[in-house]
Amino acid sequence: MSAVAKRLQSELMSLMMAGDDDASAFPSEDNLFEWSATIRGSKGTVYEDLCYELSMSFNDEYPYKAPKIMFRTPCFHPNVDEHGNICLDILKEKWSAAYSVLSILQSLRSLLSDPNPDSPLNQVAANLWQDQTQYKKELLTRNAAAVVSSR
Amino acid sequence: MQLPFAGADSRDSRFECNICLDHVNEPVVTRCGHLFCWPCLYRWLNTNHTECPVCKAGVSCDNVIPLYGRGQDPVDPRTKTVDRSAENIPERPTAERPRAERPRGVFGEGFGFGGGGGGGANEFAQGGMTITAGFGFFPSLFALQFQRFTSAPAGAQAPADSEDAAQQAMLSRILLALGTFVVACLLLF
Ligand SMILES: [Zn+2]
Ligand SMILES: [Zn+2]
Repeated sequence: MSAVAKRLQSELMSLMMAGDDDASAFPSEDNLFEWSATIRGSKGTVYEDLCYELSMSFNDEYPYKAPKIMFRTPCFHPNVDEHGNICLDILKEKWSAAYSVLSILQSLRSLLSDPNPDSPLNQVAANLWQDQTQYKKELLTRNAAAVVSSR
Repeated sequence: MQLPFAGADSRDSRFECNICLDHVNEPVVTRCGHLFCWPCLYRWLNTNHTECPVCKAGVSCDNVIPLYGRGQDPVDPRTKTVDRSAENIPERPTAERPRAERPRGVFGEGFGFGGGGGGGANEFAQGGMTITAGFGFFPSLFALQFQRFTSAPAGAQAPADSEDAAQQAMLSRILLALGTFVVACLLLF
């Protein structure tokens, strides 16, 4: 088994052991390098109880290079574009080999409630962020069709 | 079901590499205290990184410390790992060997480690006592005393020795002043 596969396997084990409801991930049946993940917005934020599905692709350079991560469910957020691309420094220049699937998912959860206003990919969302009541309204309208709501 | 996984159990994850998450192989520790396999850390530093993957403290290949556990096989690491040559990973850095703290006030200890030093120290005869050039560098307290009594040439004196000499000189000056004072008292009263 390659070193990358070994590391992914060990991450999978720790995710299964952790059994976190707010951040989970699993590789696809036939490919250990393609994962799908689910994160849930934190309590007390506009994203509370909203669930988002993501895809994570790893290559041979993991963990020396960050995996490629995209939102699969449309996500109305200042740092996510309409294709699901994410602007997050730790997935780019601030990546570290010590980060893991779990730490990425946790960072994404905190990004949801704490957007980076300096590099908006969705200008509408960025402008609306100031008014949290309006933002929540818009968010729920946009997500109504696509988001897998949690119970 | 018992999963043979260590990560969830903190007792077992103590000696896992922070990069490959596996049991550490050719362990090195950074100055910030984070443990890695040497090949893993080298690859990280060799891809334009100068910081610790865990805490972002500055790290370079030269300032990591290798860890040598007891009973680890003494096989040359270059012959042990196959992918080492493929990825051009150099040999793990060797440890520094700081000089041992000079024992102070323990007279007897001088015997075991005495002598040694540069060129001169071995040359002065010590009244029939043989001095073996040990791994210690500086002459012991005992050797120092001896040296002073026999007024042998100060061959390889470490800076600490001249400091000692200065202290002794100061002490004798204080004693002299004290003695003078006592005599003066006796004469005057
Ligand atoms: Zn490692
Ligand atoms: Zn560190």
